[in-house]
Amino acid sequence: MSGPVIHEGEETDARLSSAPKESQSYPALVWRRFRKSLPGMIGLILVGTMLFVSIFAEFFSPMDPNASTTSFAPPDKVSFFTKDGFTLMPVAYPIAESDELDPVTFQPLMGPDLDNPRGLRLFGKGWSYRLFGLIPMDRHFIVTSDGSPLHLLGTDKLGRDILSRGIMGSRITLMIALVSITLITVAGTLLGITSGYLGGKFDLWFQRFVEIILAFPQLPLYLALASLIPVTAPSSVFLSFVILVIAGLGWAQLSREVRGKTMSMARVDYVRAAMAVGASDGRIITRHILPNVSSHVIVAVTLGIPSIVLLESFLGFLGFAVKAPLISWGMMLQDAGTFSVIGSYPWILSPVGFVLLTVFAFNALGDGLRDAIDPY
Amino acid sequence: MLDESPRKLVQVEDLRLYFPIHTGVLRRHTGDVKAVDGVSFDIFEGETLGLVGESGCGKSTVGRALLRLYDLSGGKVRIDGTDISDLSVGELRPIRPKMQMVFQDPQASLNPRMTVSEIIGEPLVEHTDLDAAGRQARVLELMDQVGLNRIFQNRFPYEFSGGQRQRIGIARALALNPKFIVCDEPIAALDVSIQAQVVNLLEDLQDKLGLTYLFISHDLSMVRHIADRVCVMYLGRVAELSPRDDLYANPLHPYAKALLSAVPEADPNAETTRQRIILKGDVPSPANPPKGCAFCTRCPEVEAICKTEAPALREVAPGRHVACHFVEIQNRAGSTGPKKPEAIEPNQQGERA
Repeated sequence: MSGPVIHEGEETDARLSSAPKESQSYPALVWRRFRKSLPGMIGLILVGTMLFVSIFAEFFSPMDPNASTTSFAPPDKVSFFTKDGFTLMPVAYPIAESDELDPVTFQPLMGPDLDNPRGLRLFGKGWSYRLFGLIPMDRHFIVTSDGSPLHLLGTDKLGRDILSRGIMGSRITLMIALVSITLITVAGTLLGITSGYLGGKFDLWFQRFVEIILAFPQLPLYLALASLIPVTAPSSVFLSFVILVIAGLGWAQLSREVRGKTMSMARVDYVRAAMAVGASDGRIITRHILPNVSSHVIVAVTLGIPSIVLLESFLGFLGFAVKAPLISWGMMLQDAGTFSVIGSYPWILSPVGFVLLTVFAFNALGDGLRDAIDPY
Repeated sequence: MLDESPRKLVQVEDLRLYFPIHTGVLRRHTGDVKAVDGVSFDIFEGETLGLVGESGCGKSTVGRALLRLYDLSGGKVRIDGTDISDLSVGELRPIRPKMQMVFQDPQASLNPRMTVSEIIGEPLVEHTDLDAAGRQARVLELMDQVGLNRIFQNRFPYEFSGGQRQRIGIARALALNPKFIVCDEPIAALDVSIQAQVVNLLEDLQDKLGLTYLFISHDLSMVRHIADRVCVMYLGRVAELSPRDDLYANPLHPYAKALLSAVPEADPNAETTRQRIILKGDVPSPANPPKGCAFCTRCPEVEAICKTEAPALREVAPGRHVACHFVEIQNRAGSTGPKKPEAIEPNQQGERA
C-alpha cells in the first residue's frame, strides 16, 4: 500500500535534511525541564540518598539499633585534631563527666574526653547483620576503629544509638509512606477516572461517599481502629493495618482531583475525536485520559508522601502506628514526651530533624516535578 | 428540492438538542437551554453545505449532534439511510467510519501524548483488521494525501504549526474512508494564508474522494468559497437555507440580510455603497427564547404575528427555504420585505460578522 515515493525529491530531502525524525521522548522532555529547577534537583538528590540509605540501613547504622549502652549519652564530639595535632581521619571523643564540678551548681562538668580519642574508620567491621535478611555481613559505613561505641547523635533512655535507630527507622517510615501512597494512587486514580468518565447517577452517589470519607474526623478513627488490634498481634499485622487505614482514608482526596481532571479531559476535543472515531471506553481511558491525568497524579503523589510521613510520626508518637521491636521516627519521639527530658537531653529530638528533612525533600521534588511534568 | 437526482446522504428532521438546567439543592429540572430547536435539512451526496450563524446559535451543536456526540433530545438523523438518532454506542460503532469530524482547534483535538502516526492510525486500530505494517502503510498514504512530510510520522503534535496540525486532524478524519465529514470551524483557529491552504486541501480531497461536507463556519466569505448551499442559523433554528449564489446575491430572511450585510467588500467602490443593517439589542437567551419567531426581538421588519407564531421553514422559491412570515412564495428577485427597513441607528451592539 505504501506505494512509490510520492513527493518529488523525497529521497534527497530525507538524505539532506538535518531535522530529527524522532521526537524527544516524554521522559526526556520532562528531565530537560526538571533539571533546571534547583529545589527539584536538591529534592531528587535527597530523596535518592534517603531511599538508598534506608535500603542499606544496617550498613549505614554504626551501632546495633537495639543494643544498649549508656543511657542518654550525649553526641560524641568529632574532631580533626588530637593532642598530637591535625589528623586526616577525624576522631570521636565521647562526652564524659570530668572530675571538676561546676562552681555554681556543683554538678560534674560534662565535656569531651580528650584523653580517649577513638579513631573513625569507613567500611570497618562492626555489629553483624544480614543484608536483606540473607547475606551475613559485618561491614559498616562508619565505625570506630577499636570497636568501641560511637554515638554521633547520642543515645536514648535505654542507651540505644539514636543515629542508628533513625536510619533503621527511615526504612519503616518510608515503607509505610510508599506502600500506602501506592495503594492510594491505584485506588484514587481508578475510582476517580471511573467516576468522572461515567458521570451520571453513579458519579453523584459515589461523590457523596467520597465526601463522607473526606469529612470523616480522621484522628479518632485512627485511634479507634489502631486500638482494635490486640497488643499481642505480630508487628507485620500491625504495620499492614496501619497502611490500610492510611490508604483507606487517603484515596478520597486523590480520587476527587482525578475525577475533576477526567471530567475536564472528557470535554477536550481529542477525546471527542476518539469518540467520533468510535473508540471503546477502555481505549479512551487508557490512551487518552490516563496519560494526560498521570502528570497530575505523579505530582499529587510526590506531595502526598510528606503528609503520610508526618501522619506516621504523629501516630507513632501517640504509640499507635508501630510497635517495638520495629523502629519508626514517630516511636522514637515518644521518648521526647516530657519537658524535663527535652531540656536535659535535647539530642533525643533528632528524629524531628529526620522528619523535617524527608518532608522537605519530597516537597522540593514535587515542586520541581510540577513545573516540569507537562512539557507540552 | 432544486435537484432530486443526487442522493440525500444526510437527512435531518426536526433535530432538537436541549441541555437541561438543574437548579436548587435538589437539582430539580427547571428548564432547558434549547441549543438546537427543530432544525431540518438534507445534505446531498458530494455537496458541501455551509452552516453559518453568530456565536452561540447552535451551529457546532448541530455538527456534533449529527455524529451523535450528544444524545438527541428529539428529531431524526439519517446518515446514508440509517437512522442513527436512537442507536446505542455499540450499535453506532459500525456506522462511525462513514462519518467523521474535523475539529476547530487543532491544538486541542490532538492528544499531546501521541505521535502523528498513532493519532492518524487510531481509527484503523478500532475499525480495521490491519496489522502494524498495514496501518503504517495507510498512515503514510494519508500523510501524503494531506500534504504532510512522511518523515514527521513519529513526532508529537506540539512540534507542528497550526496548519500542519489541522492536516493531521484531516488525515485522521480520512483514515476510514468516510463519506461524510463535519468540518466544525476547521479554519477559525488558523492564519488567513493557512486558512486558504486548508480549505483548498478540503476541496481537493472532496474532488478526489467524493466527500460530503457539513462546513460550519462564521466566516461568510470562506463559506461562499466552499459551500454549494448555505444554511443560516439563528438561536437554534434555521432562518434560511438556500443555494449559495442565491443567498449571497439576494438573502430573503431579514436575519440573513443583516448577517450578509456585515461581510466587507473587497471592491472599495462597492464598499462605500454597502448598506449595513445593524441589528439592535442582544441575542435572546436560548434558555428562554421568545415566543413566536426566534428573531422577533431584533427583526427590523417585525409585525404582531411574529411575536405569537413561529414561522415554518417554507420553500419559497426552487431550492430556497426561508422561515419568515413575510417572504412571499415565488418571489425571485427584488426586495421581499413588507416595508422598507426602519431607520438604522449607528449602534454596534449585536452586530456580528
